[in-house]
Amino acid sequence: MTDRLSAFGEQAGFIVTVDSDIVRATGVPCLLAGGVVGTCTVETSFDPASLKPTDQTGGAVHAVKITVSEECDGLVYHADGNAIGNHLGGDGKTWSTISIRKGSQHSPEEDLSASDLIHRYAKQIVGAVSAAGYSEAISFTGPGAFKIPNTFEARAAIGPVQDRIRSQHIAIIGLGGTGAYVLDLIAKTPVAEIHLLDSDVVGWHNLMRAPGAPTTEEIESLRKGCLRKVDYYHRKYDSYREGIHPHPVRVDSPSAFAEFLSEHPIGYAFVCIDQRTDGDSPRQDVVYSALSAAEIPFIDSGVSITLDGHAVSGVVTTSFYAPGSLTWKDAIPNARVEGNLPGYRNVQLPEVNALAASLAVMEWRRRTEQYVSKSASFLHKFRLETPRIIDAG
Amino acid sequence: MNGDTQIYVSGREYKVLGHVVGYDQIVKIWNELHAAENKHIIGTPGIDYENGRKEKDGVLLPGKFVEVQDGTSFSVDPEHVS
Repeated sequence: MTDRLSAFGEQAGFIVTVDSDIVRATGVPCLLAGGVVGTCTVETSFDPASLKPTDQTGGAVHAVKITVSEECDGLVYHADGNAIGNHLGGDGKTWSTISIRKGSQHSPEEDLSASDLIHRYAKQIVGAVSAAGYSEAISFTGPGAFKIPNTFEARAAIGPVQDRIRSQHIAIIGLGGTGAYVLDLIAKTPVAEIHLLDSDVVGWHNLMRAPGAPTTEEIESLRKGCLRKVDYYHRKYDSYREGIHPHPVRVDSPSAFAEFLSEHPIGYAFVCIDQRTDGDSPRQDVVYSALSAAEIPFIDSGVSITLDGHAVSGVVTTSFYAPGSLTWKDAIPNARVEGNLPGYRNVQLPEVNALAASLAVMEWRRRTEQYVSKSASFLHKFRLETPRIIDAG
Repeated sequence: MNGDTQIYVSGREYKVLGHVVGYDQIVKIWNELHAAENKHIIGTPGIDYENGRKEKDGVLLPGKFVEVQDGTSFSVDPEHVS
């Protein structure tokens, strides 16, 4: 009974469900008070025998109940600022019942089914979003990268900005504290593919500085045995978006990393790996050299925190390398401290990882022309003590 | 230790000759200042500096030199982890 409505739902990004005597469209893009883009649920009751709408929901045979995504006045609007339909009732905040007669006022037509009635309302409600200039709100809520309606881009007016990276394939190399936050941020952009590279397993300590919190089921899985980081994060974000690919490869293995790059056309890479164990780390050579050789632009992020008595000091270093650049050889810190090391014990803090990831993603936005760029500096540092950004000039 | 310009390296005072210092020199000074604690940096740490005025702050990369004045403060960060 909902073929036409469901087809429209696929196009406009809303979901159609049918209960015993209620047909409901959920996540319908709409204009809320003030012209803000939101979503709403449109529902009506029907007679299971005839499938025709009834007056149980909406208050009239040709009326529907609207529930909006944000508390305001409970109404949905045309692009010209007038409310859609005749207001029949509601709480003045989150829901209302409205009616739009079909046909002329004096000889209204009946809808063939409740689904037809919802379709008729949905067309007006979605059409208002398009008429207000938010056509991308509708096309972007289709299949795209996400498994939920993407009403965000239109609300935030960043659809055209993000068009620049929509087809991009991203690699996140290293899923420690910083890499996990990079994933959290990149997963919320409409890039086509996100490749996760890490061969480590999740430890309890990792969860203390990871974005969000593990579910009860995830904790049980971790209690039962080893879970690779790439699989943990892939599952965690899989319900939310398409295009996340886990690769449990050792990035310090030249053959494994080169094989990965040859098989996956990566457009941009985030490098979030440790290099504190060896001043001449082979991992640095493998990852950075391979990315340069493959002419893949990349952003490197690293944190240095030192315990100084009972407080910490440190820095977040973010740097960008154009395709083929070898500047990383001098720019990326690569050292270790030998001797008595009470201050150097792999001190880590989740907010510093989150900041490092944010700075890296912001640099990516700047380098991909999503941000206005007024600096040519390829490297900058955020010091915890000051706090301020220092760039390499 | 006698010199023209008093700088700070990781919060510790040091006097250098003249008004220009290089990356390798700062690493050497850091190691000298931490020798009593048996700490020694190997490799190329991250270094940045502040001159008290924002426009004079910057990052000192390997092989590079920077002009200093009394009070110029260098931060040396050996780690680069994720």
